[in-house]
Amino acid sequence: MMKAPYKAVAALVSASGLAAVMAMAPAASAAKRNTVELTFYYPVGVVGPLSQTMTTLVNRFNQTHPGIHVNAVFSGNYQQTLAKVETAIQGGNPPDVAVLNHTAQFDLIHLQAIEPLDDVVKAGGFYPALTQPKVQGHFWGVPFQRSTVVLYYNKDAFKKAGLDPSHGPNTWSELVADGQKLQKLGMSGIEIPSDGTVYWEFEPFATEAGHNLGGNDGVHVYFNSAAAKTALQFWMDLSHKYHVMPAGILPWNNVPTDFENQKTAMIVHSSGSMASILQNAKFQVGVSFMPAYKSKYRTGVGGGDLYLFKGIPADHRAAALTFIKWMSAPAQAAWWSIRTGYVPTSPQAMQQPEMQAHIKQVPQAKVPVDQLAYAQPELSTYQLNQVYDVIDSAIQSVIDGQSTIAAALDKAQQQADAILAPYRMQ
Amino acid sequence: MAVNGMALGMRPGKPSTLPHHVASRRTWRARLRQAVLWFVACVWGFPTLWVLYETFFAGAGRFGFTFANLAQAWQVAPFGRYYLNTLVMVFGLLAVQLLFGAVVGFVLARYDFPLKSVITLIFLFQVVVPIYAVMIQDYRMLSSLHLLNTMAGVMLPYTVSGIAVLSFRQAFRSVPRELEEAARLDGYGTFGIFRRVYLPQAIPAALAFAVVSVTYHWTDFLWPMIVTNTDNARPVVVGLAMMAQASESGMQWNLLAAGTAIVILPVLILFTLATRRILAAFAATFNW
Repeated sequence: MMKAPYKAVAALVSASGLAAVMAMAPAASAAKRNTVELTFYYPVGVVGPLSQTMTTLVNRFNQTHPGIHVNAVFSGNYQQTLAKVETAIQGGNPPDVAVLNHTAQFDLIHLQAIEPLDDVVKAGGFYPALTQPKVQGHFWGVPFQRSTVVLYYNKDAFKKAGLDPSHGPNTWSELVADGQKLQKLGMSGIEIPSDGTVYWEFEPFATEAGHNLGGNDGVHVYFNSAAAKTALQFWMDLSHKYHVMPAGILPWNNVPTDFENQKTAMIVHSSGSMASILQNAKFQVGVSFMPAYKSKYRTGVGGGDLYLFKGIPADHRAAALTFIKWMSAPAQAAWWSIRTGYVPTSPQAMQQPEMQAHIKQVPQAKVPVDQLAYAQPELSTYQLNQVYDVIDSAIQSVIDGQSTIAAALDKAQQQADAILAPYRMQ
Repeated sequence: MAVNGMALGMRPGKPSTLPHHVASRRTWRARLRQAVLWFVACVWGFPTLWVLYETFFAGAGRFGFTFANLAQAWQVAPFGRYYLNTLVMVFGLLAVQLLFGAVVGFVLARYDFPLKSVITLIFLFQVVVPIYAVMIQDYRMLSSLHLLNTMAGVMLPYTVSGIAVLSFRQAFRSVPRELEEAARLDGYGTFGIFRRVYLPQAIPAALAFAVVSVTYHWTDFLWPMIVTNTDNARPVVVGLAMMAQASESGMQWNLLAAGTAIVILPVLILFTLATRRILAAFAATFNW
């Protein structure tokens, strides 16, 4: 009775055991003589075949640079890439180059993981909004895949509601007025995502109202400033006073889908979503600046930079610098921008013929670039994930109705101060 | 099994010789139980059904059927290679885990020696401590063994499984000593007894452990992601991760669903075919 299944198990065991032994053979080393092998970790932050786009770009580098071979290693999302980098550093096996969040710089500096890249940044001619501020007197990351917070609106719905489809709302009060008119078409006026890392969509509103959420030194935050309170009050009013936004927490991934399905006429989202929104929407899509509080336009930036790691051999360092310069140069920046939806990182990238042709075809793609003149640095501190958790849960507790604005933001400020206090001594 | 058959479809509608009010109460109870089971099954099954719907029907127009989503997702990553790697790692690991589990479980179940309880405790400890607590140490060890970026490196920290050891130990302990003595009288040595008397009794345990191991390692993501760099050593979930990241954009649900389908379909089919045996093995095994 037991014999047959036992044999089946035994067969499976021996067959797989053989396979396991075969797997023990180490991967063949591809190293050629006189070729520097670089390891380059990169995350994927936007949906689509981005990993292949990156492989194509890196292959181009390899073909045009004899003597250097870059191994591009997909490493998950930004958090997973950071985890992989940290593990590799502590295991004595750092990558040569990696793309990580621009905001990760304080924690990377604290880990003594990265080297400054002042020369590359200065020579690159990047938009200042993408490199400022300096940290400890240096530039650490080279802008690579960056995005801004923009407002998307449904031009067809604007026409139906009797609004001017050539631009979105210019101010917070226009946002409310437009939203109320659009509401009559049977859709929401606006949706602003509020799950996950909501600080990112929230920060431009606070900045417009008068103050950034973070300082430039990595040890100070301004979570309970009058500006932050005004901004959060405005968000609450959108739902509960003006009734132009659904109440409660709105998921980041659903907001573009709601926009494409005409459940909402406007959304606040990343410029990185533009390609998929333009592809999926069956109506004319407008992209505009974030509406200003009174008169001051502002926006936030996000995304990843190229970093150079410490503790790699001198020949690797030289090759890695060549690679970073090439990847961030105007031609590659334009190529990458067109295929991913990230902003071109320098005015020269913007001037590339390929980029100009793209803008002619997709005029909306110019909006995030023009917006860079009004962009403010993204909240960045030491112990970044903890600090993000503090502000995100404070905002979400207010949206959820569990806390008042003043109580939540005051508590968040206290918690963040406690987290950052040890770093102020240094 | 009888309970399952009852719950999942048989209707108690046959004429009954019981008094009317008793029969109707039973019918009523059975219906309620059926309704509750259906409800729970729907809640549990919904995500999978939604994935299959998005994969095969999204964007296909009304009542259409399409392979376009699957084809598009298949393009995003070298899934063929990833499947091969996953099969080698998952079943190779299972083979090694079963081997060590059976041998160690046998020794723990049938022999007495000093510090036996401490050693048993160490295996229990291994069940409780997640790999992520010792990840950096594991990474360093693999680095010094030159096993980073190999399938062997992904598998090595998992080769001795506390769950396997304890499951086999429990299965072997329930074998009556008389059987062993009878076999000895028939002229079997220790290995013969292990193979002919004990191992056959442990097949449900092996099967139940196999389910746990395969489902865990089929979807294990962060560890393989951290120790591997190239397509030669990466599992199929890495391919899914390539299209599941949308922190800086909106999500394309059809693509995400198709990627999920690529990962789960083989396991889903396998488990659907073997549901009965798996349930029986689970009931017999996880009582330690």
